Amino acid sequence: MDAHIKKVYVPMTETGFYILLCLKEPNHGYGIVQKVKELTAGDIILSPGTMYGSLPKMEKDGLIHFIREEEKRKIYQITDLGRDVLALELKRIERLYQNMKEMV
Amino acid sequence: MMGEQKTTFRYFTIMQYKEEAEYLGRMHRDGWKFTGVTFPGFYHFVKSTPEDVVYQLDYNQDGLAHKSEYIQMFADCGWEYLLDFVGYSYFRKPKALMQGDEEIFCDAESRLEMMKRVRKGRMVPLLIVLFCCIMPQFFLHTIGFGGGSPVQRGLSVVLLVFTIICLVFGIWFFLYERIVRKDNIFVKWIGIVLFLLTLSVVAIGGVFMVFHKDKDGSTKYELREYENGFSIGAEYLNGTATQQQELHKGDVINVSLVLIEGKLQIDIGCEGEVPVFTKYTENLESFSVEIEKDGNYVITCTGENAEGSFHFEIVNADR
Repeated sequence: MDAHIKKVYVPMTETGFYILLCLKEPNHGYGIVQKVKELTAGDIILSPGTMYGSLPKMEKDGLIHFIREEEKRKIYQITDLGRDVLALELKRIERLYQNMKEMV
Repeated sequence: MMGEQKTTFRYFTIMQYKEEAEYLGRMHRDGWKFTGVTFPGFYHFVKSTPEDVVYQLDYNQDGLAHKSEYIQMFADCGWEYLLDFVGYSYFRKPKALMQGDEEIFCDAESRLEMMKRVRKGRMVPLLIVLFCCIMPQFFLHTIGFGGGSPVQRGLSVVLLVFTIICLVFGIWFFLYERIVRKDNIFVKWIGIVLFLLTLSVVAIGGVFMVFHKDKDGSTKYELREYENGFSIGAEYLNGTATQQQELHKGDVINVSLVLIEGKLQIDIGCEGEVPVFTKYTENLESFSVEIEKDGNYVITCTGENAEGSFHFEIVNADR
């Protein structure tokens, strides 16, 4: 993983994290919005400007790849690089969680 | 059938998308529904029922390139796409359809990304215009073509106005940059560059004024003598240009004046005597003067910012 990817995506924003997590299954932008809403019990509602800014950027950086278009909606899926980033993020959050448990 | 319509003029800079969106929301709450915008800042509205509607502007070239899916993404989330204007796309969503407060960006990072796209999409065109305007100016001033001509003066005014606009934009850009890159030393450099730019504009303005003033008081002309007369070619004549001439009774001086700018007075007379002929003009002129007495004459051209060429042809009486 090159330095640029690490710098931009580790640590990730909550938005970036959920987008990547949801794209373990092929999905489109609005599908991700609905899924995240469901996962967070309506706490996080991703906005279209954010989604449309993030998806092409993640695609350009090779974290996700375009699969096909369905009714004017682009369907993406995570790549191996994306999984690596997600794994790093998982480790980081695990440590956060662990440390928090020990200290509190 | 459209109801009552209204157009307002508002100018928002490229960084004031937030103020612009708030303005449109305010108008809608007052019962004026936004229908369009035309360059440079005419906002069109149609009378409607007052409603709490949130307006938002996005700047996304990727989106403009893939318009249908871009609009679809927003439509899925309940945002109505309105139009594009100078790179921005306009959206709105009624407050009643929202859960709490909603914007088209849900985190600071993506909002920042948009600001960066604005910067990238706007800086390059601005620089191109800058160089297209300033370079010809430098050319005109240094080479000195058509000094003081209406064309050059016009261009100078354009340059001045443009420089002021650039500076205003520069300051806006600087304030904006401070938000985008909070902890970046790069911002300090932009500040310094901006300061130097202001300084150089003042310096160029000063030099230009001095140069201009200098020209008003000074004179630049060329006098050419011929076998049967002389001519004066003046780039700018302030003060006098004189020519002595031995003349005899019956000699005729044919004068033709091509005066492009300024004022000119012609005096013809013997040395130390009241001139026998005087003519003041601001136009094209040609006339003849017949000499009635032998003597050593002085022909004087007195100019006030006079530009043009003045010919004096002397026809001897005995020829």
